[in-house]
Order: sequence, then C-alpha cells, then structure tokens
Amino acid sequence: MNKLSKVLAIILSVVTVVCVAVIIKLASDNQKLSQENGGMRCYETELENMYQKAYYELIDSVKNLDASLNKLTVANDKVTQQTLLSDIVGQADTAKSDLSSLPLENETLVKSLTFTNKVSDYCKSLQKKIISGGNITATDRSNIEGLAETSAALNDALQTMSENGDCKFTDCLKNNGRLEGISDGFDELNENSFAYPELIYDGPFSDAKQKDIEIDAPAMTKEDVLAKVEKQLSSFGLKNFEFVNEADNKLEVYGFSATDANGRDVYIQATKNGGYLSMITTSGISENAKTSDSEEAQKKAEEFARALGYDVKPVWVSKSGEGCIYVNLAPVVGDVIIYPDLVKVSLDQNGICGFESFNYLANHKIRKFDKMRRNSEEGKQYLAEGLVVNNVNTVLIPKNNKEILCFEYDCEYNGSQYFVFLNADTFAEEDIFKVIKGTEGYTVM
Amino acid sequence: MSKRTKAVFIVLALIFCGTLFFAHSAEVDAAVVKQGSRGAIVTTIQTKLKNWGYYTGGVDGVFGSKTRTAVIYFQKKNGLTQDGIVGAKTAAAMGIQLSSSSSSSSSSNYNSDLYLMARAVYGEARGEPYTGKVAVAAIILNRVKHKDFPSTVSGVIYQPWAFTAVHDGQINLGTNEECIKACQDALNGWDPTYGCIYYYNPKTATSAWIWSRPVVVTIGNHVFCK
Repeated sequence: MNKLSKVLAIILSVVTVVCVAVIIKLASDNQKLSQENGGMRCYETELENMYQKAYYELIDSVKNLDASLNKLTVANDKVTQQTLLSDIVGQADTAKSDLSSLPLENETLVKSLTFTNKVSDYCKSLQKKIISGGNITATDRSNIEGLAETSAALNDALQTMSENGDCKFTDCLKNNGRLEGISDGFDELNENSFAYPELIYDGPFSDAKQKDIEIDAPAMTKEDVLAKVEKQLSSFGLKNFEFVNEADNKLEVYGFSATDANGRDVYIQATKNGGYLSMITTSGISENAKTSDSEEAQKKAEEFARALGYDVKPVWVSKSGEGCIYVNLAPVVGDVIIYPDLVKVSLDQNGICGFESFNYLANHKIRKFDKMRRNSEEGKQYLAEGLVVNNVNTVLIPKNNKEILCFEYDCEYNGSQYFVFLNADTFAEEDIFKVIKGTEGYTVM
Repeated sequence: MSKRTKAVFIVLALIFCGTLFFAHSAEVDAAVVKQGSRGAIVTTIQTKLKNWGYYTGGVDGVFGSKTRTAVIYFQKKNGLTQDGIVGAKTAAAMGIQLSSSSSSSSSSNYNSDLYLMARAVYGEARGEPYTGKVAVAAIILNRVKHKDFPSTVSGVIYQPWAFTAVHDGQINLGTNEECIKACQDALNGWDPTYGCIYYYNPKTATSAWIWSRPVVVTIGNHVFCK
C-alpha cells in the first residue's frame, strides 16, 4: 500500500467513525424527541378526552332534561311530579357542570349556563312547594312549558352540532376559545331561543327584583364624609386620612385610605348618604398571630361598633388560622336577636383590623314584635330525638328575601354542636346550622 | 492532629450522631413539623412542595435536609420566616392543617375552598393592595351566587377563560398569609365592590366586551364592574 492509499484509508476510517457517531447521535435525539412528542401527545389526548366526555355528557343530559321537562308538563300525580323534578335538577346540574368545563368562550354558552342554573333552581323550589303540601299551579305549568321549549331549542342545536362531525376541543386553546362548528352552533342559538317566562319563586336565581338599598339620610360631599370618618376613627389610633375612590353599586360609598398605629395601610368605606361607616380592611398580618381571648375581643368589638353609631351586641365569635377573631354583632329588640342586621368586626393582636356593616345598612329598620303566641319550651318536642338543648334564643332570621321569627335551639348531638331554628309560630324547621370545628375556631355551615 | 483536637473532634462527632438519632426518633408533634419528623403530614408537605416545584427529592414521609431546603425556599418565595420548620403560618400558606386533634367532620370543605381561593387570589392579585385582594376573593364568591356562573368555588375558579392566573398556571404558585386573610375576610362577608362579578386590568385587558361593563370601583390596578 502506497502512502496515498494509507492516507485515504485513514481519512475514510475517520469519516466512517464520524458518520456512525453522527447517525447514533441523531437516532438517539430522534428517539428522545419522539418520546417527548409522545408525552405531549399523551397529555393532549387525555385533555381532549376529558373535553369530549363533558361534551357528550352535556348532549345527553340536555336530551334527558328536554324529555323530563316535557313529561312534567303533563304529569298530574305528586309522586310522578316529585320524581321528574328530582331528575330535572340532577340533569340540569350535570349539564351546568359540563358547560362550565368546556374551553369555549361564547356569550351563548353563558346563556346556556344561566338557563341550566335557573331550571335547577326553579325545580328545587317546586320540589319544596310540593313537599310542604302545595300544588303545581297553572302559572307553574306555563313556566315549565316555557322552559321545555327552551330546552328543546338547546337540545336541537347540540344534536346538530354533534352530527356536524368531529371537533377537537384542544384546538380551542390555540384559538381564543373559538371552535369551528361548535362555536357557530352556539352562535345560531339566538336571543329568542332563550326567551322563557319570567320566573318568580323562592330561590337565589329568581327574577324577583332585588330591592335597592336606600340609606335614609341626606347626601354628603366626600369632604364631609371624610371629616366624619376621621372624627370617629382617630380615637382608635387611625391617622393620615385621604380620599381614594368611590364605588356605586348596591351601596354607594366613598373610599378613604389611612394608616393605623402600627403603620399598616387601612382602607375605609362610608356611605355617600349619611356617611355611615360600611367597611374597613387592614393590610398585613399580625406578627404574633395568637389573638387575645374572645371575651376581650367581643368587648372591644362592641365598643367599636357602638362608637360608630351601631346599637348592636356580640352574637357569634369565630377565629381564623391567620390570628384574626371575627365577632358578629346584631341588634337585640326586647329579647329578639335580629340576625338580618349583622355587623361584623375583626380583630387581631393589634386591635380592630376590620369592619363590615352591609347587612345592617341594607336591612335595618325599627321592628316591633307582638307578644309571642307560643313558647320555646313547647317547641322542644318538635326537635329530633336525642338532641340535647343547651341554650335557647328568640331570633329573627333572613330566608328567601323574607324574615322569620324563630326559636334558636343550641343543641348537641353525637359530640357535635347544631343550631336548629324552629318557626316561632308553627314550629316548622326553618333552618339547621352545624358548627364546624376548624384549626383555630368555629364556623357554621 | 493533637490529642486535644482529636478529643474535640470525637465529642463533636458524638453530638452530631446524637442529634441525628434524636432527630430521627422525634415524634411529629401537633405544633410544628421539622427536620427529623416523619409520617403522613411530611408526605403531604413533600407532595405539595414537589408539585409546586420547590422540592426535587423523593416523597418518602421523612423530613430530611432536602425537604428542609425546599421548605426554606418555599418560605422565602412566600415572604415567611426562613427557618425550615413548618409551623402554623407556613402550614397555612401551604394549605394544610397541622393539628392532628382536629375533628374528622367535614371542616375540610370550608378550608379547601379557602386555600383554593387564596391560590387564585395570589395568582391574580399578589401585587395589589390588600383591599384589592379582598375584592378579587369577593368576585369569586359573588360568581358562585350568580345565575350566569357555576355554583361552586372550584367551578368558578376553573371555568375556562375566566381567570388569567388559572389559564397560565400562576394559580399553582402557592399563596401567602395575606391572601389567605383576604379570602377569610371575603368568606366572612367583606366585599369592597358590593356585588361585582367582573374585573380587569386596563393596562392588559384585551377583550373589547369587558370595557363595555359599567365600572363600579377602581382598586389598585384593577377595575371592578357589574
């Protein structure tokens, strides 16, 4: 072999080795990439499957909802009506949950959600009505017919969408919530499809008009309100008051900033009419998070509320894990606790850190109570067997935009604390609260 | 090495071993979880820290130095005292309960909603004034009660396109005590917006529709509307 051949052989070997190395590297990169892609595809597929499940479940539940609502329009027996109503509530709730998990952004989708919310809420109120001995009236029947028509329109639209072929919901995420086919389908469901009768009933989504909150006091300028707030709060160590903003919603208020004795930022709201203090928040966390004892807190809270002109007494105390004690206060008329007019005060190691009086401002009025026809002792026999009554109060509670006079029985059962509210006139059970022991205090559900 | 140095070395070594022994045999007391602790609570802490990207070690229920480093990292990011010990405040920020004596009743519902909200508020409004945080928490609760929205806290928070911090994953950054306190206020009825269901940041909002909503109040960088 001459010199040239030797050199060529060496070059060839080197090139071969390099080529093999490059091929091996490329192959391994490729494999890694395809594994990564495979991983991504796997996530995307799983996500797509969840969306598809929600979509098909939605179609199914709207189809069933449509059928049940139509059956209800002709049902005349209370047992059938009850069965259908509970089916409808379940179907509407499933549809609601599916609608809210689809990644579509569309105004009609919101209308569909509103529709399912209302159907479920309205049918729950009909269930209660039947259980309490009432009947489905002609107005109810005509309402149900209206809802049935709307559900038919929604059902038709969904069926058409599903027949129009396969849609990939994960594409929505790349297209700002729009998905060809489905979004167009919802677009076609116009305003008219969602026109159903106005539903007035006992429930949170009733079309009954919310009453406007009018404070019966003269309008004040922000300067006058600021002066009033400053006068009331400076004795509690607040200073550097300044006007910040105003909010016009259910309540019309001015907002002010201040600092407390510990240099923390405080935000205060007071009503434009009358300059009544409606809210205080204090930023920051109390360093030594363990709060003083709750009796001391109740005393301070009552003093504070009274200094602001609220004639209230402490009725409930709860502690949070963040070192705050929340004291709820309510007016007491005779010996009746007025729960609709709650004022809330929160305190931490450094004293008062929050105040809230929306309910008081919205509901407070002069109330008079006639002599009670029945007494709380008599009511005890209407409580469930085994409840040990530790205390009884006469209270006014808010329920479905109404106020009901009740006996409040503070009871113990199986080691848990309950409050059972019996109607003071009929002894019907109006509400039950269970006291939940948290990490550092109590709350009711 | 002189005799004296050796002796000092041996003593130090003994102290070290002793510390290790005691650390490992320490019982998990209800008040704090720290290096040497073991048990389900440590597993929970490790899982949470791992999910949030603070911890890279194994989830084995043993609080070792890696877990301690991760706890310090978590405390640093959340503005807590950096002692590597999970006490009441750090536990609260992680959304866990330390007390083993708490009742087995359904208090978890209330607390899990609180911490889920606190994570959403941290993701959405951690740079906002305290009242702004309370307002965002109040918006979540106002939506739960509103006919146009899902009827649960998780339904409202995870509704697609509803919150930017959920869409871009900031909700998984954890939370801090101030956000938890703000949510606690909102759950107790504080609402600086008196019933608003929308808000936006005028500097970043892209939806033309949101600008058409009647504005109720501006707090910090957020405009709250009906």
